[in-house]
Amino acid sequence: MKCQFCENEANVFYTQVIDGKSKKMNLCDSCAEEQGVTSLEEFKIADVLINDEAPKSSPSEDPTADTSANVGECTNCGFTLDDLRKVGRLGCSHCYEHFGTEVKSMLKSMHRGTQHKGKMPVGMIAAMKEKRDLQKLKTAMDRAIADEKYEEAAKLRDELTALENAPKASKSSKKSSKKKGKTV
Amino acid sequence: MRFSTLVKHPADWMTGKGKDNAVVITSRIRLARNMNGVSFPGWAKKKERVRIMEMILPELVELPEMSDGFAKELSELDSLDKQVMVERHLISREQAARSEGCAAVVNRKQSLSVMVNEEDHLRMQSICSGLHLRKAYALLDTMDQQLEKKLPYAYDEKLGYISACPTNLGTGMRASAMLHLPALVLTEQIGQVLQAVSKIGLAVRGLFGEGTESLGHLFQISNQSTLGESEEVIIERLERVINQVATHERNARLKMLEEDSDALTDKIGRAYGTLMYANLFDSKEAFAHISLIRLGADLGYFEEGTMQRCDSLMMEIQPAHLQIFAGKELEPEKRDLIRAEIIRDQLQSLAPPVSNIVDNKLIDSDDAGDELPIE
Repeated sequence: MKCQFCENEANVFYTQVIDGKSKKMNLCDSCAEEQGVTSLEEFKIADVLINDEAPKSSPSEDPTADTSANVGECTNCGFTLDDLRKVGRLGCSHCYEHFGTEVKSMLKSMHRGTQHKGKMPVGMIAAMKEKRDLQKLKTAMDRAIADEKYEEAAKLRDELTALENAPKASKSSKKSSKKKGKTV
Repeated sequence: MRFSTLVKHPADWMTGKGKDNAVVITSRIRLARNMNGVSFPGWAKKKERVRIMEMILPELVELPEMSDGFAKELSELDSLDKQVMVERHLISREQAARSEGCAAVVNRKQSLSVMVNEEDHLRMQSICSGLHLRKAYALLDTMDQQLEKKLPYAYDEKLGYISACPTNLGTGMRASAMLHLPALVLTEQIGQVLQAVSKIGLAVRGLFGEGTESLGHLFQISNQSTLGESEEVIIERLERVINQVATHERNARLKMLEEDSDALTDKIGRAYGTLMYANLFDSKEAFAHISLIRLGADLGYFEEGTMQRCDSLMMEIQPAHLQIFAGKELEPEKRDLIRAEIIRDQLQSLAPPVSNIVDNKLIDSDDAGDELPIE
């Protein structure tokens, strides 16, 4: 049998089975090494096969996909739908909002669900909430001072110092994480 | 830790210094994380990539887990060094091809490693010997919880941890185990088992040729889906399935020993003879024979400690390790010669195989629960 990449005799027979679908490749030793098939972990060729499969079922079949002109570039990083089709990956975290519809149509065939049920970065969310709360209090205090409501301003100042001196994050974290986790 | 120290002291999981890793050699968890609002490594311009690395790297180095560890930008390593790290599964092949703005951080025990700016900004990995996915996950989770307080992770309520490729969204977790399945290959049951595993949505990767040929009879089973389920649920299912595959393998081993021990003894003896006396070995052939010695070690054909020796050997005879050992770059033909030398040297003191029928009982596969739809 001949190698799929060159004229040499094939020595390596690679088979990958995902979701019951199997893909086979016949390669010679040197092409196998080049493609990284000789190492079991994370080889190039596997990525090629997977990426071949995954995005194909998605934007191209999606009727809205060809209106990429309307969607345009990601406002944050300049990534386009064409780039997504080419590489199967996105440009930045903001792309997931910008190309939300397109991404959503890809997810069903890739995953067991479309809603995240795993762990949350509780510590990060708590830290961010704390920062937001501080900012809110500061704004309110400044407004109170501007309006000459000094009693209210004093109250807000006390709240602010209390919050600033409070032990960091972790305790309030559980509660806060259940509320708003959206930070992208 | 210097690179030479890293090379000199392989991790426990690399040399099989664990109990009960005859079938499941290693367990591995990988988490993908990204920074909010900045381009993913593959899309970022070099300047941005360097800036991101400079933001992440100090936080990694400061982690208690990484104290006295190894941390280098990839541009500081030569290609042979990178290749050694690939062979040890500390970095990926893709990461080895990168240089500026990309980095690798490894803890002293080489059980934890982090790639900065691979496909994602952060790829953290934990490996341990045997089937211990939960333990591997717990180690990573602790590290992740410290990092999330310092780094602006990209996270979404619905999509979970944001990744460059939508296939990693949600938990960003890939859990996998490396299995040694020689008996299933030799008894030609491997096809059915792997088919069954893939039917329930798990991925199997392995190198297997036509018939009974394969590279070291090694297979990797991992989760495909990362979104829609919690880390615990994914790990639980994977562990259940891996246990079932391992039970099938053990039963196949015992059955061979009971019903076909002459043929089995012959195979192991031939592998031993070839390894002891051959003068040239490519990786593929060497792996095939070492795999049989490893099987024999599990079935009592060799003295204790032989399995660990096999595991060390499988690492040492890979191209980059072999060239570091030789102290210079070598052409493939020359490597084959050195490879045979290393093998002979390592196995010199190993006594020839003796067939000892061990008093073992077949494990009733019902005990393991029957999720695998093996026909």
